[in-house]
Amino acid sequence: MLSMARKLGFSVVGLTLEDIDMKPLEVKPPENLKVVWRIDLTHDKTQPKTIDKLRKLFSIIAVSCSSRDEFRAVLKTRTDLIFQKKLFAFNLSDVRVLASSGKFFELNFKPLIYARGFEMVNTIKVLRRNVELLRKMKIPIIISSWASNTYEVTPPLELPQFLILADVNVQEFYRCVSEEPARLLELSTSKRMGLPNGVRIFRRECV
Amino acid sequence: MKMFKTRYLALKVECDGEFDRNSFQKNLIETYLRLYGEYGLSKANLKFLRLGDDGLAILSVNHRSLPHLRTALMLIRELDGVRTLVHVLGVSGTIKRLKAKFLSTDVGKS
Repeated sequence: MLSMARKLGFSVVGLTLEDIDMKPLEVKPPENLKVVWRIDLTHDKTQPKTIDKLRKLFSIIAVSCSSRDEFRAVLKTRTDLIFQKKLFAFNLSDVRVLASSGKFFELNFKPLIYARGFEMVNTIKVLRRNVELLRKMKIPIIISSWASNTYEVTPPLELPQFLILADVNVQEFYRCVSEEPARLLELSTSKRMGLPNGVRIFRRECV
Repeated sequence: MKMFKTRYLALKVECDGEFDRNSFQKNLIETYLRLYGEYGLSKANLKFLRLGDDGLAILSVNHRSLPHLRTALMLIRELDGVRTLVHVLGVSGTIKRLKAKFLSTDVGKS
């Protein structure tokens, strides 16, 4: 999968674990490909102590939500990224709270690949609504493929193409596969160092 | 001013097994129809210009329908039970430029 990702033009790939007792594995990525580890938590496992422990091990801490109640609950946690395990429609107040929390939101198009008929219609409807609200409130979005095998890896510049179904200008969303993930990594690195928000290390000098 | 501009796409189809040209053609048209309907497909003016056994393909499409075609291509993950990945190598306004830029071994061939 990693060699396919390199071939398709990725420079950084995020690998996901879901079990909080597991540690990042040793992998040998191909040349010029960086691997970062990410943990996907559920809303009931986002206690500050757990997150502090996991932050030392994982570059990105993501949390899933399957309903609006869960979404509201996870907004108060100290995770970096929120994603929907099961698609549901947001409303404006949800997205306003998300904007004030400073978290990133992950969009993935995997449900679109396997949905058919009325399920597809619903998926596109919810996607269109959510994307419109996220854009309106300028939420940082990350687009991912959620690939679980080699043939689900999608070239990075193809990733935002599915948003044409939400009637948006795809060009606007290219940053969601380049600048935004880089910014997320930078932010999570500074959190791991214990730096407060807005403080960055540009250069280190040994004295 | 030209009303109907065409865009040419170079594709690489990677399969888990053997690449079946007919299955790819059928699947792409089915996916496009499913997403955009008969009216959408008629507007796209989709043509399969080259479909090699090596998985390399050249398609032509109306420039306004290019994003729609790319979405349809992205959603193809299986051809008759064989896991598949369609990778757009590049897009160009002329076949000559497309071949020179993305399928450079093809230059000079008919």
